[in-house]
Formats: sequence, C-alpha cells, structure tokens
Amino acid sequence: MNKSHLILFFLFFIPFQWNKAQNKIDFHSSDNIKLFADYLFCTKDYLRASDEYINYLSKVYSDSIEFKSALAFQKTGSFDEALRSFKKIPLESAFYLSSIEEFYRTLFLKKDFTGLRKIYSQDRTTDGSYSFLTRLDRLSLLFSEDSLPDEENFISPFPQNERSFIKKFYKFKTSPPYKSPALASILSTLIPGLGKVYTENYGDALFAALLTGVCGYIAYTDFNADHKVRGWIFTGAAAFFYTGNIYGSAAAAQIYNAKIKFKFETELNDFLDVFHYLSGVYNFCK
Amino acid sequence: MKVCSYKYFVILFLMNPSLLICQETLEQQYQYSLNLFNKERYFDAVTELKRLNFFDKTKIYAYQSNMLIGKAYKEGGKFSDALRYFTLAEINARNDSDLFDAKIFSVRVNILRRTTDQAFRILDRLQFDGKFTNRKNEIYYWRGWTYIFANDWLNAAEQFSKIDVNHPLETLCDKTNAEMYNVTEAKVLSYIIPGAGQFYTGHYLSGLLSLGWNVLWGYLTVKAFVDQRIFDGFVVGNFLWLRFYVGNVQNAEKFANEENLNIVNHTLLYLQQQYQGEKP
Repeated sequence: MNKSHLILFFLFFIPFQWNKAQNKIDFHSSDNIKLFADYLFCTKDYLRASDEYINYLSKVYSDSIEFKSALAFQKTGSFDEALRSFKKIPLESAFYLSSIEEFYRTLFLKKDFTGLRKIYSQDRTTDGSYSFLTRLDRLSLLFSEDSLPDEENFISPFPQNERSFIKKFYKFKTSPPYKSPALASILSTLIPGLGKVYTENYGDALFAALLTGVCGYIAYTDFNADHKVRGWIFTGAAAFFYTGNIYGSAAAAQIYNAKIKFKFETELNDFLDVFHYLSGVYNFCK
Repeated sequence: MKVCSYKYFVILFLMNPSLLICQETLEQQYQYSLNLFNKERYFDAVTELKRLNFFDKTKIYAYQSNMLIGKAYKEGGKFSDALRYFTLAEINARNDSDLFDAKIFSVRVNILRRTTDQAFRILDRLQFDGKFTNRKNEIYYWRGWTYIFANDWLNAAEQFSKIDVNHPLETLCDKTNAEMYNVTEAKVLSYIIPGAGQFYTGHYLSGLLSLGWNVLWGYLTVKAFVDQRIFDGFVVGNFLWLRFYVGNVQNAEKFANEENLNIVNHTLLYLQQQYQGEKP
C-alpha cells in the first residue's frame, strides 16, 4: 500500500464512517440524558424525569439538575427523596433560597406539620425575609389541633389580598360552628323534631314531629275507644319513630359537622392551590 | 512499508467515529424498547420509547413508538394517557391500515374506561369511511363489544351476528339477554299484586313479607273507613299502607337490577377468564 492509496482510503473511509456515526445517537450521553429528562419534566412525566435526572447526576453534578430532580420527586409524592435532594443544594447555589422554600413546601405536602413547625422554630433564616416560610408555618396550624396564636399575629405574615381568606379560616378554626350531637338528642327527646331543627334539617323535623304526634294521637284515641290491639300497634309505631328521631338527630349533627369540616378543608385547599402554596412557579419549561 | 501500512490501519480503526463512544441507531433503540414491551416491562418500555420519540427527529418510528406507548399505558390501566398516544399514532400513521389500527385501539380503550359514546362515535366514522369497507367485520366486532359494555346485549348480539350468525359472542349475548329480568315487568307485577315482583325475581320470602305487610295495613285502612274512622283511615293508609306499597315496588325494582347485575357480571367473568378471542 503506497501513500496515494492511503490518501484515497482516508478520503473515502473517513467521510463514510463519519456519516455512519451521524446516523447513530448516543442516547445515554450526559447531555442527551439531560435533554431527555428536561423533556420528560416539561411534559409532566415526573416519575421518569426523576429517574433520568438521577442518572445524569451519577455522571455530572449540577445544582440546577439536583433542584429539578428534587422537584420531580416532590411532584410524584416521593417526599423523603425530595427532602434529601433539596438539602443537597449548596449555599452558594442560585437555587439555594428556592430549595429552602421547597423543603418547607415538601414538609407541608407530606402533611408533616409537626416537623415543619419544629424546623421553622429552630431555623435561623426565618427572621423577616422568609415570610413564605412563616406563612406555611401559620397555614400548617390550620391542619392540626394545636392552639393558634392571636388573630393579629396569625394574619400579619400574609399579603393584603389573602387576608380575608385567612381571617375566615382562622375564625373557623378558633370557633368552629359545629353542632353538638348530645344537644341535638336532648332537644329531640324534649320535643320530637326539635333536634332536627337545631341541625337545620327542617323538612325532617316537620316529618318526625308529624309522624310521632299522629301515631301517638291515634294510639291514644284507640285506647280510649277500647281498641287495644290497634292501640298497641300505634304505640309501638310512635315509640319507634320517637326513638328513631332521637338517634336521627344525633346522626344529623354528626353529618352536619362532617359537611362543614369538608367544606372548610375544600376551601382551604382551593386557597392553597390558587395562591401557589402547593407548587412553586418556575420558568424551566418555556 | 508493510509495517507502516498496518500502523495506518490501526490509526484508521481508532479514528472510526462510531467506535469513539457507545452509540445506537434508532432501529436498535426501537428493538430494545420492543423487547422490553414484549417482556411486559411496560414502565421501562415507555421510557425507552419516549426516548426514541424524542431523538427521532425525522419521525421514522413515530407511529410504532406512539402505538407501543399507548399499548403499554393501556396494559397499565392508564387509559387517558393511552388515548393520547393512540391519537399521536393516528397523526403519524403511514397508511390507512395504520390509521385504522390506531383508531381501533382508541375504541378499545374507550370501551375499557366505559366511555362507550366516544367509542361509538369513532366506530361510526370508520364505518362511513369508504377506505375501510374491507375491514367492516372488525368494526362490527368492536361495536359488539362496545354494546356489551354499554349493557345493551340485544344490539351486541346483532353486531356479532353480522360477522357470523353462529359467532360465539352472538350466542353468549343472546343467552345473557334472555336470562336478564325485565325491570319494568317486575315493577308492574308488584303494582298489581304486592310481592309478585319479588316472586318474579326469585326472592320468595321477601315477596311473602311484602304481601303480608300490605294485606295488614290495607285491611286496617279499609276497616277504619268502614268503621267511619276517616282520620284513622287516612293516617294508616297514607303513613303505613302507602309506605309499604311504594316500598314493595321499589324493592321489586332493586331485586331485578341486582339479579341483572349478577347475570351480567357472570357473563363478563366468562369473557375475561375463558373467552379466547380478542378482547378490549
């Protein structure tokens, strides 16, 4: 093989091989993993995105990828992994402050309200500028049975446009408009149907009063007319409706309480959603 | 010179760009994904197919990959995701046959998630499209299945009979339809004779009880009116007899529906566990 052969070989072989390589893709190069992971993240396939980000991080460290990976974990409900990843964001990173917010948000989403408040109370960074963390701390109290601070102290960290909602939630939490099942039963024992009036079931109240009253009256007239069998049948019916009404009033009070608690929780969750307490706003997907 | 040329070959070999890094072609990636799918590793299959989709800029594998992603999601019970990918497969269909297959998979997913109206709409469009006249038996078949899941066994039987009068699903649907109780008939019977609807659905004790209560309160109501105790008559008739009479009719309707549900569930169980043909 002389030199001219070799030159020809170079001229044909290299472009051919290069073209062949062009048709190939290194699906698992760091850059391609990152590109694919970002695509998955932006199409909200967070479970797969977190896998790809971890794969990327095993090859290259990047604080932005660590942060996105933590967000992906948070979105899939893998809160412990998310917390670990948010903690890894270094102090000098541009994502450090966001990672603190997300760390608290993750605790909130995990419903670890005790943990959130404990960390908040020990956190030195909570003075002044970290109002979001203070707000999350206050909001966590609405989900627990712990005592609330005074109204002014509770509401002050929130911006003006949120305060009317917070005031409403605070009022519900400090003096919930629950109905007492025991009182409902007592009222219905005194006057059939009165317990139902107390639980705001007016139709049921009227029906219970009528049914008990009419059966009682018929039983009374039957005994007076010496129709003992019919008298006992209607006495039984009246007793059945009377006791049923007492039990029904207690149950109605419990149902009423469950309904307003559900309404409170729905409104609170809607508030958290609308004002972005449950998910941060980032421009990763343009 | 010979030694020198070998050196050149070694250098050339090492300079081969395809050997510099581990790379695969789209075809290799597709085969790898297909292999995962065939091994029923659906989560991994979807990941690799999405990777293929993402890097396949010329969309050579867009149809196959979207179809497989749809099928994997369908197997995992993620029907809305499956539908999204079958729609993407339709967009990337290479020919009419591909388009038909993708649409049929959309029908099958709609059957499974009980959105039968949507399944009927897709089937209607396929039926009236002149391109698919040679595949009308498939349309009848899946229309039959849609009727099954819409709980319309008579129409389901009719669709299967269009494929073959002795089609096994036609016989099964006809049998199921014949076994089912007529809810209106049960109610009407109970209107005429209290308890008769319960007897019709095979609930004899309940029928007897219902008859007994109605006879008792009916007797007391009539007796009250005969004895000129009009108020008693109205109260007993309204609060007791009418209550038991209405309850008897509602009871008959409930039993008929329950029995029908049992019959349908029995047939669906057979279809799920023993039927060998293609299922949604």
